[in-house]
Parts: sequence; structure tokens; C-alpha cells
Amino acid sequence: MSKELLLTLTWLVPFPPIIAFMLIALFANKHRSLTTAIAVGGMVLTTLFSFIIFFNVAGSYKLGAAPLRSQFAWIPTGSTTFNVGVAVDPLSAAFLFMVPLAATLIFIYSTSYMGNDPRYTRFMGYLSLFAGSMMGLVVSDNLLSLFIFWELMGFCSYSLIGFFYNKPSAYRAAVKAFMTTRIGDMLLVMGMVYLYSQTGTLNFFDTMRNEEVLHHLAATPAVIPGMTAASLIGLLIFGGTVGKSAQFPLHVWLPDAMEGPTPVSAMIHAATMVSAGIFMALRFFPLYESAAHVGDTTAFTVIGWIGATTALLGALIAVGQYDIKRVLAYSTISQLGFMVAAIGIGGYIAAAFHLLTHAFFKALLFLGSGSVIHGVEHGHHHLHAHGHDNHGGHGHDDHGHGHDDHGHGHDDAHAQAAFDPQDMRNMGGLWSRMPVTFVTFTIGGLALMGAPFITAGFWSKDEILAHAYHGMTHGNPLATVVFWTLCIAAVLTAFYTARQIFMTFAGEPRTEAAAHATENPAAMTVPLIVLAFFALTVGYMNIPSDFEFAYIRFGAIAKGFGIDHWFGHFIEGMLPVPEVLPKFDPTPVAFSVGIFLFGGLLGLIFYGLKPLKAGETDPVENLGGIFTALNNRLYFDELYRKLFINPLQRFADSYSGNVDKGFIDVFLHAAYTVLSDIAEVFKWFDKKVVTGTSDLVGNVFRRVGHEGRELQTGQVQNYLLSALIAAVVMMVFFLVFQ
Amino acid sequence: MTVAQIVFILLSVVGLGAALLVVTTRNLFHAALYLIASFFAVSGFYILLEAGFFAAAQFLVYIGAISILFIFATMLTRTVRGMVPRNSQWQAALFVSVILFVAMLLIFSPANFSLPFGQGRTFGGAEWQFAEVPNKPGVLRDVPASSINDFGRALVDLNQYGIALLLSGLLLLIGMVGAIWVARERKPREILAERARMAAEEAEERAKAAAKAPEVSVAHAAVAHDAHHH
Amino acid sequence: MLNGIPLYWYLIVAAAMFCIGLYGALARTNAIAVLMGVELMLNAVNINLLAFWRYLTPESPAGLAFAAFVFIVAAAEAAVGLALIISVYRNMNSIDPEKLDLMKL
Repeated sequence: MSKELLLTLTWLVPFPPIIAFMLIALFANKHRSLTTAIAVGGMVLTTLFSFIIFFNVAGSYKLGAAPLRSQFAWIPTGSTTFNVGVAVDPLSAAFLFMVPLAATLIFIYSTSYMGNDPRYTRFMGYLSLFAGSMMGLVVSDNLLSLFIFWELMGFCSYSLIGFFYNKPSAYRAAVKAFMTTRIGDMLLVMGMVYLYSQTGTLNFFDTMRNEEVLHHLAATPAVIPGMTAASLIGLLIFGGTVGKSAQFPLHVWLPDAMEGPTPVSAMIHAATMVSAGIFMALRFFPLYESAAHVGDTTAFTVIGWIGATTALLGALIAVGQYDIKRVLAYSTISQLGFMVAAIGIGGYIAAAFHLLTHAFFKALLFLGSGSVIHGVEHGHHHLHAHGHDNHGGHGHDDHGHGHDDHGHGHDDAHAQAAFDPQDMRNMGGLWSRMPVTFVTFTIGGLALMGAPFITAGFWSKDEILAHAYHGMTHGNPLATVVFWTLCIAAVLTAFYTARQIFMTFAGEPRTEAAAHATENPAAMTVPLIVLAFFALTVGYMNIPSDFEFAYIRFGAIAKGFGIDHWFGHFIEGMLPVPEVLPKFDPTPVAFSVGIFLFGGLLGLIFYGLKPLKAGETDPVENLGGIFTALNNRLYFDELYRKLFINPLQRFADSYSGNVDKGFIDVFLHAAYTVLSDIAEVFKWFDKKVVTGTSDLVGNVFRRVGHEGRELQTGQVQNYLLSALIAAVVMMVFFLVFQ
Repeated sequence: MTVAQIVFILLSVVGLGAALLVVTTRNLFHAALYLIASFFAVSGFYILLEAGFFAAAQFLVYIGAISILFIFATMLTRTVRGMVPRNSQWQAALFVSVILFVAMLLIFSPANFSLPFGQGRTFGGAEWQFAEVPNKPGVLRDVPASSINDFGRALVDLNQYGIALLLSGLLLLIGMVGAIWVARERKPREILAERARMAAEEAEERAKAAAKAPEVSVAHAAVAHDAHHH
Repeated sequence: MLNGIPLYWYLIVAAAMFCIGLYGALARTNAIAVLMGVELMLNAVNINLLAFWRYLTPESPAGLAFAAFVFIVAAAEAAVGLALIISVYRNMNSIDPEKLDLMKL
């Protein structure tokens, strides 16, 4: 396929969903099936284009050195122009595979999940806009247009998190998400400006793939003494990642974002938006590396510490959560921490690989949790509202309120507390009632835990650990920290995932609602199956050639198929200097396997062998105070509120009260008074003079008429007299003046 | 002072005095009588002017007919005992009349109207010309003996005033018929019907223009009484 | 100068009678009185006419004819007018011209 055609397709990739959004908003707002057709159709079209592009460039390892590019001049900037366009390089190609696929599956899932929501069309519209902006971000070839789509996605995230806008918790969560990521975006803009001022361009290929530029940036000292421009720019831009990918300390918005509908959580907070942060960090990896080459490792250090901290933090808090989606949210935070930590120790390929596999199994887990919630909710409704055995795979009553706004939309008055279908304590025993969901969810969970060799999650997590181990054994102190932290985090990951799976599916149903839960229709289960397939297989695209464990030469098998380390070779074209891959060492693999077994066993012991019965306390609670802290998310929100929000609020109130009302308003009021007095004068003038005159004119005529009418007395003698007077006057006149 | 002048002065005193009394007296009947006296004086003027025919005509027409008409009308329309007060515009009327008289005095002054006259004398900027002025200006001519004959022939001659005479005859006929018709006696029912019709018209007009409605007191009894008397 | 009476004596008398009649026509509250004033005016006019005839064109019957027609018309007009007054009196029960103002707006 010709380059021109591929580039045309690349240009076209973001448009179908955006046009779908416009069509839905303008025309199809009231028509559900039309909206479904438009939204899914747009996404399918984009997937088609993206796949065509991907499968055409996937074979070339030289794509990084010579990406497909197409630009046009957008802003004239003096003697030059600022160009904007699209590019297909290995990183964007990989995303062109993953993002539309996941998005299409989530779209299809949403048509069923949100099908009964009264604001379904609005949902699909926003989702389309979001998908379109993510695709736009992926194909952007420069930081400015990437940022534009970044912000657009932020807006869509805000709208979708706050989709159930009548719930205060929802709209507050939306504002929180937007504000928190804003802090990161501010840093990103500063980085963008700094980069432009240093290099005069924001194009990725011209900066990050250009040795000269990188050397120049690394050589220039930054405005902060002790750092190079490269590392400062890199850190500032990484600030955007901290916000968007929910890294510590800006991680607080992601758990609250679970207020949005589950497909939103799957899409935005697993597969796409949070990935966009890592995507951007990966794009600017050469900056960090070039700084490190000249001895300034500030960027890597900061990134590594933040990543490791986030990974551990997320995993810890996840252990203490009861809400099925909260566990997954913190799990996402933790896994993103893994990726960031990998970047911090120079593991470009490992981070990118983990990003891709994580997108698949996390989306699977979120959609699966949505399926579980859906099923349990329906069980609850069947039980309490209608009481008929309307089971059998299509248990959709027209409830009139969407999912996830649980607890408040029941039409029958409950005397007891509102039923929370997301609380895992209300689940249990769903393995038999929702089999497809159970199997796919378990596959996703195993991938997250890193079940060895069979799940994609193992391969990508292992690569990170291998990289960290290698760094550790070669004297990189950061790598040491990263390695041990990630190991602990991985153990916790395995544990809480096992806990989640057992609590949700194993044993007997703990509530009546769970006992009446039903499996969901094909529109929801088929995407789960497809994602499960990828969660199992996508890891095989990056087996190192010399990988061998337990006497099974996985690498050789992969080489036999010709796909050994394919992804790594493909993606390393992004870097001007290819990454040096460590030689295969089985020790990290042993660690990975051991972590999985240890964590999984812990979970099995506490939750699997004797599944919890109704009313039984969760064994985790035996940790007492630690558990309480974990359940309360380590009090980060409270801390931020005390530290930042309250003072700001007080300042704002004070400013508003004293400066705005007290000072500025005084001037405004004075101005108003003066103007109003002037207006009074004009009003008087208008009334007396203008109106008076016109009234006078009218009155004069009226009175003249009135008086004149008096002449018509009807009396003959009067008329005679008048005639006579006239005659006499004329006569006198004639006599006197002749 | 010739006799004629004395007579003239006497006649003018009587005539003008009677006229004044006609227009000032409050008693309508007296006014009619004073009018007759005034007519007598006018008749005397005609005699002085050697227009004897008209003196007689004055007697016959005015004194003999018109005055009687006036008296009849006065009797037939007795309201409030025939009192005739001045009306609301009498001052203006008086003023205008006086002004007019003064103006006419100025015009009819000796300066303008003594003979000889019309001989290149300008009045009002125009030269007065008289057709048929014989070529003896400034001399009072005599009335020819055949004056009445000529007058009579002129009235009958269709080339002169015959048509006018016929027309005036017609006028008199029409006037007579009209007067008879307008003032005919009406039966009580007829009068009532007419009154009703007029009342309806009046009410309509009052509704339209809120005009001052004259008093239509149903005094048909009085009228019927009059009609019977008539 | 006819027997010592200049023309203007007649004219002045006629003018006076005319003005008197005019006052009567304008200032009386009885229609019959108004008609009396009108008759006075007509008589004054006749005097004027005949005076001019005698002093200026006594040989021509034109003046006489004019005066004759004035007589005729005056008579007819008096008759009709009085008939009308009687009719008005029967309908409005008043012959005060000030009260007969139906022709006003």
C-alpha cells in the first residue's frame, strides 16, 4: 500500500468518531438505534483505518528512523511557520492497534450496558468524542496538537465522570478529576513552552529523534541551577503524566472517577486516557536519556521514585477496599506506577510493553466488573421491585436510571440502607450464576497477577522486573529501590486480585441479590471474551530470543514463529540510540513466578479455601488500624483538603469578600451611581422636554380642534355674524388701504 | 329748506325710528306693528323718488300681505308670551352693524355721491362708468311719462325681462305650494307619528354625538288644541 | 338733486335701515324677529335701488325691474320662511335660533 494512501488514512483516523459525536449531538439525540449505529459505525471505521495502517507498517523495523509523516503549516511565526500534522512511528502504530480495538469493544459493551439509560445518546456522543480525541492524540506528530487532544480528552473525562450529574458525588468527582489533572497540565504547558523556546519546534521526530537537538538540550543548563534543560523540560512534561496517569501525588482523582459509568472507567481509566500519560512520557524518553548521558540523572531519579512510590501505594490501598471498582482503580494506579518506574530505570521497551498488555487486561477487568455489577443489580431489582422470575439472559427491565448510580434510584421505598451492588461483600457465588463473566474476569485477574507464561501480564511485568534486576546488579541504586518496591507491590497485587476474584465469585452468594444475579447478553459478554483472548496472547509478541525457564525454551519457540522480541525490535526504533537489552537472566523470572505463587496462595488461603459467608468479617480487617488506614485510602484526600484546598478556599473567600466586594465593587458602584444620575438627567429631559413637546403639539392641535369645533354652533345667527365680520373686514381693508 | 326735504326728514325719522323699535322691542307683536310703520315710511320714500308704482306695490305686498303673515306667525308660535330678549352675541352684532354703518357712511358721503358724479371721479381707484349715461352728466334728468308703460312692456318682453318674470312667477308658485305643504294642518295621529319618528331620529343622533337634545316634551295635546282651534 | 334732496341722503337712510335690520337679524332670539330684520334689510335695498334709478338712469326700466324682482323674491321668501318657522315651532316647540343648533357637530 502506498505511503500517500497510508498517510491519508492516518489523517482520517481521528475523524469518524468526532463526526459521530457531532451527528449524535445535532441529529440523533432522540434516537437510540441511530445513535448506536453512528457511534459504533464511527469507531469501526476508525478501527478499520488503524488496522490497515498498522498491518502495513508492522513489518518494518525501520519505521522509527523513517516514520510516515504529513504536515501542513498552521501558525505563521515570523519567518517560519509552526507545522502541525500526523505521523506513524512505532509507538503510535502500536497504539493504533490497541486503542481502536479496545475502544470498539467498549463501545459494543456500552450499547448493552448503558442501553436503558435515559441519557444513552449523550453517553455515546461523549464516548465518541473521547475516542476521536484519543486517536487524534495518538497520530499527532507534535506536542501542541497532542496537548489539544489531551485537553479535549480531559473535558470528555470530566463530562463522562459527571455523567450522572444529579448525584453530588459524581459531579464533585468530575471537578476533582479535572482540577487535579489541571495541575499536571500546567507543568506540561511550562515544559512545552520551555522546549519550544529552546528548539523552535515541537515536532516529535524533529526533537526526540534528532541527536543534535538532544545534545543541545542536554548541554544547555536549565533555569534551575544544577539541571540541564533536557532534564527540566523532561520533568515538566512528565508533570503532565503525573496528573493524567494518576501518579503520586496527583493520584487522588482516579478512584473518585469511578463515579462514572463502568464503560467509562474501562475506556478512560484503563485503556486510553491514563495510557496517554505514559504514551507522552515514552515519547520524551530520549530527553531523559540524553540528560542522563551527560550525567544529569535528575529526571530519571524523580521519575523512578514517583513510579515506585505510586506502585506500592496503589497496591497497598487496593488491599483495603471493598468496592469492586475501587480495587481496580487503585490497581490501575499501581500498574501505571510500574510503567513509570520502568521508564525511570531506562526500560523503554518494558514500559511500552506493559502499557499495551495492561490496557487489555485492565479493560477486561473493568468491563467484567461492570458485568458483575449489572448482574447483581438486576438480581436486586428482580427481587425487590418486581418479584417475577424474569431470568434467562435478558433480564433487563426498563429501570429508567442508569447503572452505577446505585443506591438512590430504586422506585420502592426501602426501609433499610441502600443496597450497593458494587460492594464485594454483597457478592459471592457468582461463578455459577455468571459463568462467562467469571471465566473472563479470572483470566484478566490472572494476567494482572502475572500468572506465569500463560498470561500477557506475566511477560510484561517480568520484563520490567528483569530490567530492574539487571540495573540493581549493575550498581544502579535507583534500580535497587525500584526492584524491591515493585516486588512487594506485585505480591500485594497478586493478593488483592485473588481476594477480589474469590470474594466476588467463589463460595455461596452472600445476599439475595447475588443469588438472583444473571449473566448478561452477548453484547456485553462477547467483548469480554475478545479481551480475554488478547489478555492471554498479546504477551507472546515480545518473548526474548534467549528466554528459557524450567527447561522450556520459550524464546526459541517464539523464534521459530518469527515473533521473538518482535515488539521490542519494533518499538526501539523510536529511540535515536537503541536500548541495550540485558542478557537473559532467569533470576527475575524466578522472582516473578514466586511472587505470583506467594500472593496467589495468600489469597487462596484467606479467601479461596473457605469463601466468606454472609456476615463474616473480611480477614483483612484483622489488620486493625492498618486496615482502617488502607480503607480510608491513607487519608490523602483529607490531607490535601487540609493542606491545599481549605487555605485556598479561605483565600478565595477573603479575596472575594474584601478585594472584590469591598474594593473593586466600590468603584463599580460609584460608576453606577454617576451613570445613573446622568441617566436621571436624561430621563428628566426626555420626560419634560421631549415628551412635553410632543404632548404639547398634540394638545395644541387637540385644543385648537376643540375650540375650533366651538365655532360650529349650529346657530344661524352666529354664522351670519361671522360672514358679516369677514365682509366688513375686507371692506375696511379695501377702503383704508387703497 | 324745501318741503320735500322736510318730508324726507320726517319720513326718515319715522322709518328709522320704527326700524329701531322693531329690532329692540321685547314684545314680538309690537315689533310687527312697528314694522308696519316702517313700511309706511318706506312707501313714502318711494313716492318722493317718483316711483309711484312701487309705493303702491309696497302697500299691497308688504303692508297688506307680509305684515299679516308676520302677525299670523306671531300668533301661531306664541312661546313664553312672545318675549324676544337679546341673544348672546348682541354686542358683537351691534358693533359690527355700527362699523358697517360707519363704513357705508364713508362711502356714501357727499364727497363721493353728490352730483355731478361719475365724471372721471375715481372711487376706490377705479373710474366709475355708467352705461346708458346720457351725454349730459351732472344734471338730474326727468322720469319720462311713459316710464310705467316701458316698465310694463319690459316685463313682458321675452327679450328683456319676460323670462325673469315667468321665473319669478314660478318661484312664487313653488313658494306657495311649499309653504302650504310645510305648514299644513296635521291630524293628531299624524302629528304623533311624526313626533315619534323625530324622537327616534333624535335618540339616534344623541347616541352618536351626544348632542344637546332639544326638549321634546310631548305637548301634542297643546298642538292638537291649536290644530283644533285652527 | 331732486327737490333739494341729494342722492346721498337716500343712501345714508338706506344704509342706516340696512344696518338696523342687520342688527335685528343677528341679535334677536326669535326667528320671526330675525325675519323682520331681514325684511328691513330688503326694504333698505329697495330704497337704494330706486334712489340710484331715479338719480342716474330714470329713463331706463332696468332699475324698476330690479326693484320689482326684489319685491317678488322678498315676498316669496317671507312666506316660505314663516311657514318653515311654524313647522319648526311645531316640532321643536321653540323658534329661538340659539336653540336650533342641530347642525353643529
